[in-house]
Order: sequence, then C-alpha cells, then structure tokens
Amino acid sequence: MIDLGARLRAADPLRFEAGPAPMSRARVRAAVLGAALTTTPPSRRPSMPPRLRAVAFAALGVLAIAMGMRWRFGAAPAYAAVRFEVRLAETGPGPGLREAPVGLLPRVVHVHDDVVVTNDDISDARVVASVSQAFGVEIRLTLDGSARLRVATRGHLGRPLAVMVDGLVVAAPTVRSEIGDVGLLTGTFTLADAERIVRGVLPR
Amino acid sequence: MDAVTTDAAVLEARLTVEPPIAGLFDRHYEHLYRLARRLSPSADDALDLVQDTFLRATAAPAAIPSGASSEAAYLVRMLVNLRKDQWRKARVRARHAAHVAAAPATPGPCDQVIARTDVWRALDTLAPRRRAVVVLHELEGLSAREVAGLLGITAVTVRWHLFRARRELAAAMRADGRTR
Repeated sequence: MIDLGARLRAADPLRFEAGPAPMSRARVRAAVLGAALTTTPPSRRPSMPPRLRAVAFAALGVLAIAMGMRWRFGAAPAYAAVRFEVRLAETGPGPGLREAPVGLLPRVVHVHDDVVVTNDDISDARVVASVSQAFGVEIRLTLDGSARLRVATRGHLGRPLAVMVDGLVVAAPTVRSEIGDVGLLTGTFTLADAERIVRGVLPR
Repeated sequence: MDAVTTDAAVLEARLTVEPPIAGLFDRHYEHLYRLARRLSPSADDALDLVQDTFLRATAAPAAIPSGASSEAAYLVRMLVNLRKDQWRKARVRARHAAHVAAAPATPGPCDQVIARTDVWRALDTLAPRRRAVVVLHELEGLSAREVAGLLGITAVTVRWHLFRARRELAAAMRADGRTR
C-alpha cells in the first residue's frame, strides 16, 4: 500500500505556488459582490407546507376573480428603492433601543425607534467621485427635513447618529455640533453601488 | 436648499454598503481556494471555481445556512458539485477528442512542476468527490467524521472513498510508470 499522504503532501501545488495574487482575490470579490447587488433580495417569509400553499393560491385566485382584478406582469422597476433613514442612537443599551452593527466595523450602536429623516426628506442625491476609484453619494435634505435633523441633533451632542441604508447602519458618526444636512456619504462605494443608492433614495 | 455645512464628524466612518455575501466571501475565500486548487488542474481554474461557487451562493442567499461551520459545509458541497460538473463535461469532451489532454491548455511553470509528479497526475483520474475526500483527509488533516460532515455523507462512505482512492491511485501510478 502506498503512503498516500506523504506523496500527496510532497506534490501539493500549494507548496509550489504563492497563492492567488491580491488582485485576483479583489477581482473575484468584486464580481461576487457585483452579482449580489444586482440580485433581488429574496423574501424572508417562512416557507408554507405545499398543501397549505395550494389552498392559499386557490383562495387568492378566487379572490382575484371576484374582485375583477387585472393582473399585470413585467412591471418591476429596474432599480429597487433604497430605504434611507437617519435616527438618533446611543453608545450603550437602553430601553426601546435596538442594537445594530455599524457597517462592517467591529462596533455597534443602539438605535432609537424614532426616525428623524427618511427618503421623503431628501431633496436631491447625486454620485460624486471620491478617492482611489471609490464613489460617494451626496444627499441634500429638504428645508423641513433639515430643520428636523437640526432640532434632533441639538439635544444629542456627543452621542451617535445612525445613518441607515436599507435598514443597515452604514455610519454612526458622533454628533459634535448641530447638524442640518447629511451631506456627503463618502466611502468605499463602487460606482454601481453609488448609482443604485442615488436612484433608490429619492422619493417617488 | 439648506446651506449648513455637514460636521466633519459625520464623515468619520468609512462607509461601506456591502451585501451580506461580502462577509461570507471574506470568511470562506481562503479555505475554499485551498480546496479548489487541490481539486483543479491549474490556479486559474481554481479561481474560476471559487468565483462560480460564490456566484451560485449569491443567487440563492436565503439557502445559505447560518453559522460558520454550516456555511463552510454548504460552500464546500457546492464547490465539489461544480467541480463534478466541470469534470463530467471534460470527460465527455475528452471522449470525443482523445487527443485533448485533461491538463490545462496553457500550463504555467508551477503546473508543469506539478504535472511531473505522478501522484498528482494520478489524482486527476479520481472523480471529484473521491478526490475531495482524499484532499480533505490527507492534506487538510480532517478526520473521516469531519470530512463526512463537510461533504454531507457518512463516515463509512468517507472510509470507502479513501480505500477505493488508494487502490485507484496505485493503479493509475503503475499504469503511468509503464507508459513513460
């Protein structure tokens, strides 16, 4: 019987190769993330037993006929709407607060339920070139939205603000002074990502 | 338009809006590449295999189980299945064109070094799942039970694959020695 392990270890290609170049890893990562951003997020509803699903479909069909509904297909928007919110947050836990990670940083904030600014308060959004091929999103608020943010941050000095995109906290800056506009979301957006956010955040 | 300048502190964070698949990629890329390289004829093929694995996972994110070990097993099975598809297609092509070698079309210097080793050439004759069992057990040092958990098969099947692999590799190397 051959000493398979020893022979395989001696011939292991990983012994001879330096491994994939960082550029190759970055290329694969970008392709995967690009695909993820263009994939419609699936429904998170729990799956229904097949029999119950059939009954539900039948009931839905009867209801649709009874109400004379007109079914329309193929009308999905090219870009999914992006939910944008600014909320007040705290560094520590407290009643009514929800813990949320800040982007991919090893940091969490505790977010208040009340929303200070939403998509409806955005007057304009555009993509701006940032450093090293990254892109930022410039978000301008309406007078109403900006006044609300200013009032909210006035009493929140030294504590964090949660800037949320699609329900995720993408930034949690500490409020150093009264803030009246969200301004520029700089960062590591790809162009496609920045464009998706800009198209999605503006109220329809 | 409100003209208030945004506090510089607002910009303190490096913002990243990345889908959850980014975390999955970062957690599993390295070990998937290692496995893919040991299952593929070249480094480029291994990179393609890893990319295809993540793309397939991306297409059905709801199917990705939670927990690092479950994720790893899910991705490893997906990678081995993709490799099986490639292997099957390559065999069909080779059957129709006997002169087309199983080796990569443009092997690099490292591939040539590896191609010279009889055991690695023999490994190419194993079916991908059997090869994955051998690689995970002999090179990654996983126990039969661990390999079984990762590939979704029983430990008995793992031991059967190892037994058959040893015989097939020995036969392939003997045949290789006779033809050289």
